[in-house]
Amino acid sequence: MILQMIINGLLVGGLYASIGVSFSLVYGIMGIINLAQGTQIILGAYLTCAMVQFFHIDPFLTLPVSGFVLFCWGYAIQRCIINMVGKGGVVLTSLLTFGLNLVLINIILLIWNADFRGVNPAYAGKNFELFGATIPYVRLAVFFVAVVATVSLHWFLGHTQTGNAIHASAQNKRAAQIVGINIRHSYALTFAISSGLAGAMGTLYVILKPVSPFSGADLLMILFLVAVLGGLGNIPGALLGGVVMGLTDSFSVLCLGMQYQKIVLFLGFILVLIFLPRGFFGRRFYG
Amino acid sequence: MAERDRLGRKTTAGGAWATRTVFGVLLLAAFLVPLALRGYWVRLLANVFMFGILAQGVNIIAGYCGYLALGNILFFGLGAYVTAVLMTHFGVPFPVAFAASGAGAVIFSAGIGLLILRLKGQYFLMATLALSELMREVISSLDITGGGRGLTLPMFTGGAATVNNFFYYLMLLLMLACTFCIWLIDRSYLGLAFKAIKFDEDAASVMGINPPPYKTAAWAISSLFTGFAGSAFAYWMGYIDPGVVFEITPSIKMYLMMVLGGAGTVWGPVAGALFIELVSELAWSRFMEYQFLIVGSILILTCLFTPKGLMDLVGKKFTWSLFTKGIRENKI
Amino acid sequence: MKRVLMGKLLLVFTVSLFLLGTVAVRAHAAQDKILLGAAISMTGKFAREGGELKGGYDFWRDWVNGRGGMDVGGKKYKVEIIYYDDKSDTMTAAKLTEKLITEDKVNFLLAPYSSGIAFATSAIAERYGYITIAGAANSDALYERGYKYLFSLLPPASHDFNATADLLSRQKPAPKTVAILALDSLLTILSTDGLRNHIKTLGLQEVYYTKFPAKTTDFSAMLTVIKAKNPDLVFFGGYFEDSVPFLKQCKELNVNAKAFAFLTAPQFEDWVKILGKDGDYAFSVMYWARAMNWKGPYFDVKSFADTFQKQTGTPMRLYHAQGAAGCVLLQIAIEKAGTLNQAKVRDVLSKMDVTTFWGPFKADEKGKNIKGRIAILQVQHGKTVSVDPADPGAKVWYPTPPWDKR
Repeated sequence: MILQMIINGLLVGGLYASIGVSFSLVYGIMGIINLAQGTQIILGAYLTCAMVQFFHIDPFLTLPVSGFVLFCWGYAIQRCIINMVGKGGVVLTSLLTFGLNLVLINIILLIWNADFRGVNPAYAGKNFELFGATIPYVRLAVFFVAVVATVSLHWFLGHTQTGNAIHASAQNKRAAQIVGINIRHSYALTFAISSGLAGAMGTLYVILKPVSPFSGADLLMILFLVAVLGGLGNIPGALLGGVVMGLTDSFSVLCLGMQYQKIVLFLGFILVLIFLPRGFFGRRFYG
Repeated sequence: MAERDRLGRKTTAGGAWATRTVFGVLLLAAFLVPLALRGYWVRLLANVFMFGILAQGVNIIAGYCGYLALGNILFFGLGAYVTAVLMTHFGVPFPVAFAASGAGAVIFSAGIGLLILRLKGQYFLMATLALSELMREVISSLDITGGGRGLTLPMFTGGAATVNNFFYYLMLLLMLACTFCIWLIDRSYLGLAFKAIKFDEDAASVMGINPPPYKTAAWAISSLFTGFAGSAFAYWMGYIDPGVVFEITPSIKMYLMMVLGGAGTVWGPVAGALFIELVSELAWSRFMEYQFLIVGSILILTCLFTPKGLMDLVGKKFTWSLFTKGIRENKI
Repeated sequence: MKRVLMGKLLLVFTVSLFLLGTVAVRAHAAQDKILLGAAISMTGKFAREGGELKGGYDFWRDWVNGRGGMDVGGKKYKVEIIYYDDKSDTMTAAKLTEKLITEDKVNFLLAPYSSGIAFATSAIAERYGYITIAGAANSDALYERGYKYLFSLLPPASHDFNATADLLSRQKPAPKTVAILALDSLLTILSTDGLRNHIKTLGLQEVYYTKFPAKTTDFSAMLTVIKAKNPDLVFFGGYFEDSVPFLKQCKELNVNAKAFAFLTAPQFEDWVKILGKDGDYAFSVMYWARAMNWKGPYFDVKSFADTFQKQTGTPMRLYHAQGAAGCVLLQIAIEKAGTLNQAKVRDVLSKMDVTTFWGPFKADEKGKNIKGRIAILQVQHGKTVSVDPADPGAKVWYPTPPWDKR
């Protein structure tokens, strides 16, 4: 039972982490709280549903497509709109993204309707036993993809020229411009990566759970918790935050019962913030 | 012509009479509305006033003090539940329950404020958000609050018009009290201290302003009025459940109203509340399919072109450069 | 500075008052029409149910108008319905109900979806003396407030699960243990509380009970605990968006039971569509089924579905029927009273004992429908089949085989 709980927690935590990472990235580099992130994930999910319905392909294959579509959307939206209020402070930028969120929801409602959508490939739910614990293949795959995405993003930011440029823009705007970095481009690129990641995670999410145009708001809360827990802007931190959250979910049910799950989660979150005011690995220069 | 008041701000003596006349007329109009308009409009305006109170509550802590308490709806829900529990389980009359709601909100905010007001910027924002979710879950799992089943309050006795008028005046008076309170703060040393903390907390403490008491005071005042609003809301609706009073959308709406009207101004949030409520009222009654699109687009345009709020724009001469001022100042 | 500020303020207020004024002017309805009003959820969390309810109202309106209108005291009246979207939000619904009554001056109100919203709207309707026939709000607490103008079409929610438990306890091999899960919301808690009392009389043992918070999408931890208890029956008191991930995760974690019973979720077409073969064997509560074969004035069960399909071109779903049934009931009461006076129609409704295509209706003194019935559906081969009362040739599939043997 304990082993099963740990595995459950890890598998759920992987998904939490990967959607938290995309949010944390934009926050860390640009100091923008992207309230549209949840709905971007939902948009990715809807794209997957549409492709599965029309082309009858495996949902995992649609991952690059929904990722790419959201990447382009993210780049455009950051370059044309969000950049225009970039210096306006966190209240203004978050309200702007909230406006974008409403527009996105309406677009989804107009194209599709308010119905719940989901995909259920034939292999969904297949599982194997390991030391008495049941492990579903799909969840494992989702976990794997999520972790690979997170780790490669971390590598990209740390070890490539573009990644370094993005980091530099986060640390000191003016200095970055002086050394010849086009910060508008690097900001747009950051936002695009985050949106693209959100789109890809939407694909993974919809394989596990059905979505409606309004599910974004529920996801947003998870995004917040994971990103803050790990330290805003810290990618490995978000991974840890997600896993901690997943494990907390599991063990609170085991020890106290389902109805206290969220109480434990939020209480734990507030306690962490009181004792570690910047999350696990928050750094000062971000934001 | 420009004299200066005690705090060194410019005042114009000539405008005082005109200002007072306009203000008096508007106030009178607000008090006479229930005589002239029918049920729906009275309810709609009472609703606007309620959001006015909520937006003013956010204005004190976020607009003046710079602490973004996104989860301020917490006190609304707390106030609503204190009233509901006292009235249903202990048979307490409404005025007492109303007062208890305000007191409960203040005690809670002061207590928790000492702990989490140390958090900076967005971490504080997230903490308040988590706090409101936590409160929702705690209330959902308690027996005395009826859990997820909610609570049915005793009925307000009287006909439809009496009920509407009662809550209309209650909300109106609350909003005026709240605004008056902000007006007093704005003119006092307290307001200056708040603004100093918003501008630069470290500098403020160097200048001899010890931030924690001020921050806590700001949040307590904010929570007092939000709690009152919640209490009135519970009695007005007659039934509450955690999903209704702890919803996150109104939290974001409060900020929207504050920014749209003008953060850190005395009347801005009220104007914002009036504007947003009326626009969304029009948007969904006429263009149901596109309501989110319309409200969302207005929001985006506001952020782009009038980042300092409507109050900043009205009364100035309209030029292209004024129109694009927001973008010029804020773009990267 | 101050002066400029007040000037701005004046401008904002004038503009707002002007807006108010222009909106407030509204043409009144013509005299030979009956004006009905509905504040209904077209967006938000109840968008699906609200939309179907509206479809039912629309169908009834067109159908009545097609017959020349409603017959009130020997005069035919055409029917018109005004709709507003309450965004699944209680406060908005309350505002709109008041608008319908005081601004649009509707003759009658049609009910919204969900008990939570009906709490607020029926309170307003009661004050103005307007009838609410709640087509889709059956929480017991609604009817404990002593309202005189509120009637329920459905049997009380606390009995929702009982018929399923009765049916399952009669199956062989007999189930012994039960796990009950309840979403923490008004209706779901009521129905599971009713069930928890009811299973004691059936000799079933409750081995696991939990509430879960709203918006839970991950049940894996809870399922691990349930798996260890190995219950024969699993009752899941939740809605569409909870039950789909729940069942998927049952399969993922290989949690088996002799039967999985849900509230109303599996009757939705896309519940079955999303889950595909995995949805088979699930039981659902249904307030109405073709197999019930009610005969009433205007329609019986089958002719209603056919007429609906012919008139609207879309297949009939549950809430279509539910919405139309409320309207038909109102129509019968109005025609019987021969007047548009709310109080008189109310008196007729409270004494009426009538069977429509929806089933029998007889209100007790609190407005609950004491003659309401419940049907049980089961998903079989990707379709919902009524098993109690049974469709011709339908059998209960029991016990549910383990996931790896399906």
